[in-house]
Amino acid sequence: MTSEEIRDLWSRFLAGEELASEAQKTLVDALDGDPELRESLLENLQLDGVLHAMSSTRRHGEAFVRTLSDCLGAEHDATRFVRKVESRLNENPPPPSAPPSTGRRNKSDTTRIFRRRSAASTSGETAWKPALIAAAAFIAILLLVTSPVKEPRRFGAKPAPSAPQVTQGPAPSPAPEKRETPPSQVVTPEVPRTAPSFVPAPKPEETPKAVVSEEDRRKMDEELKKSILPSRTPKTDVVPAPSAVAKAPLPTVVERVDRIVYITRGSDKVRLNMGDEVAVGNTIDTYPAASARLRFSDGTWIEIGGGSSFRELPSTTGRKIFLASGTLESQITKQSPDRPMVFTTPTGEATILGTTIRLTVANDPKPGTTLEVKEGKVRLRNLLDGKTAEVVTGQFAVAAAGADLVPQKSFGDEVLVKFGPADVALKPGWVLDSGEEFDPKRGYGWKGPKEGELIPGLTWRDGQGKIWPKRAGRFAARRTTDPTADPLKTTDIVAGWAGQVETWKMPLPNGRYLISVCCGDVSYEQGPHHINVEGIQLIDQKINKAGQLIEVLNVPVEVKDGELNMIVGGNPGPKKSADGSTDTCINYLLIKRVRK
Amino acid sequence: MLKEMNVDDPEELLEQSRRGSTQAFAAIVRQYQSRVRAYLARYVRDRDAVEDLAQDTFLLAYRSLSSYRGESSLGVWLIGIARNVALMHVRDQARRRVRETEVLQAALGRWLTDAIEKDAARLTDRDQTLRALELCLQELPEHSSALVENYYFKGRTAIEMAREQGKKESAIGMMLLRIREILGRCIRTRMAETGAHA
Repeated sequence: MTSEEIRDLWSRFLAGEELASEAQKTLVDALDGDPELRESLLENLQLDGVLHAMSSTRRHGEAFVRTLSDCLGAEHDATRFVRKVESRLNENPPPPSAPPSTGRRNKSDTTRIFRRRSAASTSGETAWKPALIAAAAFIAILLLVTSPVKEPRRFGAKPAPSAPQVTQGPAPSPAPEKRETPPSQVVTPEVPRTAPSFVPAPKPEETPKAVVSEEDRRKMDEELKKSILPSRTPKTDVVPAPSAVAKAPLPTVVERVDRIVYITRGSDKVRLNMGDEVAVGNTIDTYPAASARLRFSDGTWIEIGGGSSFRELPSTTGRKIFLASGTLESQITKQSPDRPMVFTTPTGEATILGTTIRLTVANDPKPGTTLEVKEGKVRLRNLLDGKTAEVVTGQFAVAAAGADLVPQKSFGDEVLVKFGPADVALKPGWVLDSGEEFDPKRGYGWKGPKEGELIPGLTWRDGQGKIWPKRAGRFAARRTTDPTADPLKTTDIVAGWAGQVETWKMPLPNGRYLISVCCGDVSYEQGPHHINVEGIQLIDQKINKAGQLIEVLNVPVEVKDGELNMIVGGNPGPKKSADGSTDTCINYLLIKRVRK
Repeated sequence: MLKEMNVDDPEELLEQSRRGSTQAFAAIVRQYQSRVRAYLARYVRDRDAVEDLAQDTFLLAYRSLSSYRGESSLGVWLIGIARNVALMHVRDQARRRVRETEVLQAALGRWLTDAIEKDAARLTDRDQTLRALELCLQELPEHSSALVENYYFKGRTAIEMAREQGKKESAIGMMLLRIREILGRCIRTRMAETGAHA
C-alpha cells in the first residue's frame, strides 16, 4: 500500500466514513510499520480535532461558561452548608470520652456512644465527627430532594469524576481511577432522587439521637434555609419524616438498548444493558447510531436517539428530563396537573400540559430545539428569549436564537406533494398543490400570487390552438385521463417559464431529508425543466420526450432554517422544447425525513 | 463583585475563585476554555465527549484550586489536568474497542495513549499550540482558507462542498488533509522559532 493510498484511507476515516474491517486492518498494519507516517497522520488527526474545538468554542463558549457556573454555584452552596453544619457541631462538641485504657466510664449517654465508636476507632475526635457530618448531610439531602433547588444545566451532562490528586507542575501524573469522595459531593444536585439510599441510613443502635437532638435538627433546617434556599418559603418547620422520603418511586428500567450506550453513575461510566435501572441524576450517552428505550414506573416511555446525552434531573415539581444533545421521542402517561413532565434542553423547555401525548424533542445547539407533537398539547418555551407557545397535535415548533416561536403544521416523516388541478384523486400520505400561494394553515405553497403579471411578448397556445398572453405565476394541468397511466404523473403544475423564478416552500423541522422529484409532460415534449431544492440543483435544463418523464430519487438535502425551499425555473439556458417553450412542469415532490 | 475585579489579572481571579467566587472562576473558564478544549480535542474524537471532559477539567480545577501554587502558569496547570482527564478517557475507550469492526479505533486508542503519555514534558508547548495555529490559519491561501472556514466553522459537510465544487467527497477529504499538513508544518516552524516543539 502506497503512502498516498494510506493517506486517502485516513482522510476517509477522518471524514467519518466507516471503513471495512479489511481496510481498517490494512491501515493499522501500515501505520504500525511506519512510525514516521503514523506520527504525521496522528498530527493531522489532532489538528482536525483542534479545528473542530476552535469552532465549538466560538459557537458554544458562552453557554459552556454559563452551565459550568450553574454547576459550581450549586456545589458551592452545598459545600458551604456542610461547613456551617460542621462549624456548628464544633461549637457544641459532645462530652469528651474517657481513654480506652481507663476502664472506667461515666454512667451517661456518652458511655454508650463511646463503646460503640471504640469498636471502629480508638480516636474519639475523629470517630464521632463523620457520624455527625453524615447525619447532617442526610438531613441536607432530605431537604434538597424535597425542595425546588435550581438544577444547573450541564452540557454533556456527565457527572464529573471526583477530584483526582492533581499535581502542580509540568507533568501531573495520571489520576487514580478510584478516589476518595470529597465531602462537598455528598450534597451536590448530582445525588439521585433516591438519595437516602446513597447515604446509608444509621442503624438503630447508631441513631444520632444523642448527638443531633431535635433542637439541633431544627437549627440545621433553619441554617439550610438561610444558606442554600434563600427564596424558599417553608411550608412547615418540621423536617420531613424519613418514612415519607423512603417512599421511593419504582425504578426506571431500560427496556431496550441498540448498539453502544453508556450510563454514568457518579464517576462510574459503564455500558448500559437491557434491564438496568436508571436513577435520577444518571446520565445516558448514546453513540451516533445507537438508541435506548426507558420505561418509567408510570408507564411513560422515552426512546433516546443516537448521539444523545440524556439525564433526569432531581425535581420536586414533577419529572424533569434534560437533553443536552441529540433526540428523544416519548409517550407520556397522563401526569398530575401540578406535577407536569418537563423536557429541557440548552435552548428550550417543553412542559406537558395535555393528557397522553407523543412528542419528539430534537436538540442541536445550532438550530435550537425542535419539538414535534404527534398527539396532545405541549407548552414550549424558548429559554433564550423567554417566549412560549402551545404546540398541539400535528404541529411542530422551533426554539432557537432569533427564531420566531410559531407552531407549524407537521407532516410526519414522509409526505408526497402531488401537483395538479383540484380534481386529483389523492392517496393516503399525499397532499395536493394546485399552485396556490403559501398558507400557514395548509402548511405549504408558493411565494407570490398564483396568477402574476403579464409577461410582455410571451404567448402560449392551448389544446384548441387558441393563443393566450403568458403571465407570471403557476397553472395546473391535466395531461391525460387514461386510467391506466401512473396517477403520479398525469398532472402537473407549470411554472418558471422564460427564466422566471417560482419558489415553493414547506416549513419543516431542521434536519436531513431525502428528496424525490418528477418533472415533465407525459403527453408532450416539454422543458427544459429546472428544479432546485435547498440549494441543490436536482434537475437542470432537462427536456422530456412524450411519455418519458424525468425523475430524480432520494437526493439528501439538509434543512437548516426550518423551511424547505424549492425553486422552479430560474435558468433560461440555451435549450428549448419542440414548441419553443422553456417552462418547468412538476408532477410530484416526495419528502422523506432521515432519522439518525 | 465581578465589576470590581480585573478579569485580565489571573492572580486576582484565582484569589477570588479560592474565596468561592464562581463569577471569578467563570472568568478563568472564559479565558482558558479554548486551550483546554483544543488540548482535549487532540486526543478525543467524539466532540460531545470533548465538551464533557472540558467540563470535568474545570470542575476538577475548581475543587483543586488550593493545590495550585503558581509554579507553572495557570494555562499549563489546566492543561495538566486536562491531560489526566484525557488519558483516563482514552484508556477507557481503548479497553472497550475490542470488536472486529473497531480495529482502527482500538489502534488509535493505543497510539493516542502513547502520545498523551509523552505529552507530560511538553505541556507548556501544548499551551502555545493554539496561538500558533491561529496565526497559521491567517497565512493560508484564500481557497484553502475558505475550505477550512466552510468545513470547520460554518458546519458545511464534505458532501455539500463536493457538490458545489463539482468534486468527489473523497477529494474534499484529501484537500482538507493536505491543508492540515500545511498547517502542521507552519505550526512546527512557528513553535521552533520560539524554541518550543509542536
